[in-house]
Amino acid sequence: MVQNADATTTWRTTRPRSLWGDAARTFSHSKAGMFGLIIAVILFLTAIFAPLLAPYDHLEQDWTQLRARPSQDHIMGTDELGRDLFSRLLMGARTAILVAIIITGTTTAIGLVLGSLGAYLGGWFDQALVWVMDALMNFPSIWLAAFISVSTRPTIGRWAQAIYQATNWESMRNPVVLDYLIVFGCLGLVGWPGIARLVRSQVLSIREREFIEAQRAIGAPTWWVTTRHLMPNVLGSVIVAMSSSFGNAMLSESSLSFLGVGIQPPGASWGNMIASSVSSWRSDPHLIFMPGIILSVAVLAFNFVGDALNDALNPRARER
Amino acid sequence: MMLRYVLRRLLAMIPLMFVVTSIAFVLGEYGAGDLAAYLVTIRGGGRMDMSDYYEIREMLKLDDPVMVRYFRWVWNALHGDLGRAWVTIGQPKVEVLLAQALPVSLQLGLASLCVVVMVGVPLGVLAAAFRNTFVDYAIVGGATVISSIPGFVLAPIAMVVLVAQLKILPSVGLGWHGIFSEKAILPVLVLGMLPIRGVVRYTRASVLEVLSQDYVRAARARGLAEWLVIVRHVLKNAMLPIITILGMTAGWLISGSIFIERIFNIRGFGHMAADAIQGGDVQASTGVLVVSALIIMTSNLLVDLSYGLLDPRVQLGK
Repeated sequence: MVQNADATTTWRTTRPRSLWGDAARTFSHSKAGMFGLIIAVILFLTAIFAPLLAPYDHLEQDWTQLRARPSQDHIMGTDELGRDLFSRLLMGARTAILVAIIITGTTTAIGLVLGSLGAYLGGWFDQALVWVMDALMNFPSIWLAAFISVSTRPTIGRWAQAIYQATNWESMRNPVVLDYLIVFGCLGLVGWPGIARLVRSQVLSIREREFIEAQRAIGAPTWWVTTRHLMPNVLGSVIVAMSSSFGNAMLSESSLSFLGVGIQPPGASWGNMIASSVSSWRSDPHLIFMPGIILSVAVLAFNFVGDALNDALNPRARER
Repeated sequence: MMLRYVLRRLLAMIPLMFVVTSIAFVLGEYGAGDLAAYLVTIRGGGRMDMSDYYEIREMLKLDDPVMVRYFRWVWNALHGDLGRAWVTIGQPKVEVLLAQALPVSLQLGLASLCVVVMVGVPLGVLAAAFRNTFVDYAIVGGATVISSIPGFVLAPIAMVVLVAQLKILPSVGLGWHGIFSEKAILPVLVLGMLPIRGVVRYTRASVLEVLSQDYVRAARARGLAEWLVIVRHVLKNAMLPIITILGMTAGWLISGSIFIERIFNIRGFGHMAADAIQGGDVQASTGVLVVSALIIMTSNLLVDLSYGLLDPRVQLGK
């Protein structure tokens, strides 16, 4: 009897543990995940405060100091046009983070909408969606993005010109802004099928599970089932996908810029910094290593965050 | 049964190929600028002769509707004619360029696949055997680090470290001298490192999955040593999911080749893609993109077929 009363009190005082609380606890126990998170936060702060942190203007050329070694004036040296490498790296972080935020945002939005529409509507829409997703995912994504970037450049250039004439926005005549718009466009077009496919399959499979059926059986309205039960379960995998998409977007932007079809000089991107010094790898390896290592660390950080989030949010997929 | 399945899968590729080709073609159409104007300007040494211009438009049939040109392109492609790379010097036929480039990349890709298999799979098995120990963390962490380095960063780093500093490899061979040349070592290794993380993690997961099966417990109960359990019982059953990931590496290797072949100046498929796309050569880009999609689709098909061959439980017709 006494024991029974005890059990009741414990049951009453135990606070309910939410999915997110559990996830945060698991995440904070992952060393790699926390390491990634710290790097990510530093990157974000760097991107936001880049112009304040940069000792020089990232476009300023000092022709007396071409390819200078790291020194007190230029802590990471200068590039082939005498621009301060550290300042350009900071502005490159800005580019990478901006592209990653916008690309992850747009691909997730498109993926959520199209994926759930496909799963709910079915029929010809779903079939067409599956075909387009399969077709897009069968291309090597960087190749496709590079091709889109090259082939839409004239058209987007004309649009920017038209917008300038209509609104007089000076930024529309800036070639670097144009580069940004093109990169957003082509990476967005290439990136959405991954998340759309994930959302579609998640919605389709979770909809058939017993706990949804149980909700329906007790007469829960559709909006309740959708918002309280379906969405939280889909959201976990979407967040995991978003975190890896974030690293991928940074990598894709640098890859496009490396190929010369993304952000082009004088715009600062880690990719085009590497591309412009790759031929002098023997004499000035630091010009490749600085942006290269920072890019790698950034991608690694988001991979770690993604893995840790995966462990935290997909308990079923957690390894034994 | 098997034959019917293969036929069905090949038929299912047809609508997909239509979507793939139309995506590539439409993108090319809208980007191309004015091909005739470009060609006339080149021919006239910077000046544009209007009568020549209309002549070339007529010759290339650029005034036909997009649909007509698309189906003409598909029809020609089915007959092995992918058009001419108009912007490339010498205006070679795209299929000729492909015939020169693909064998090189195929050797490079297969060699890298061997590296992936020989490095990634054993490491994944080791990580699973020593799960949740230091060995496991070191392997998975190391693979994650290596694969997080983009190819165009890993290649110069490898060159500086292995060639300039440690002098393990003689000199950086630029260009292609056959797969058995020592100049092929570095590109093959670098390309093979790109998908290593996926392979290690996937192998580890599928080995762990098998390790939790009852027949593994039975084997242990019979007193089999752990390594015998893994070699005799686990590996065979873990092979199937591993084949899936090997099929997926085809896509990664192709994507990576555009950087690796560029940096090492290997005139293969990736180099051709980079030239075509950067040069704005629409015909060559379209051809390259369609062929790359075809290769990836084929490797997916091969993976599915190998499932049917290797696992009697999989009923391919279903």
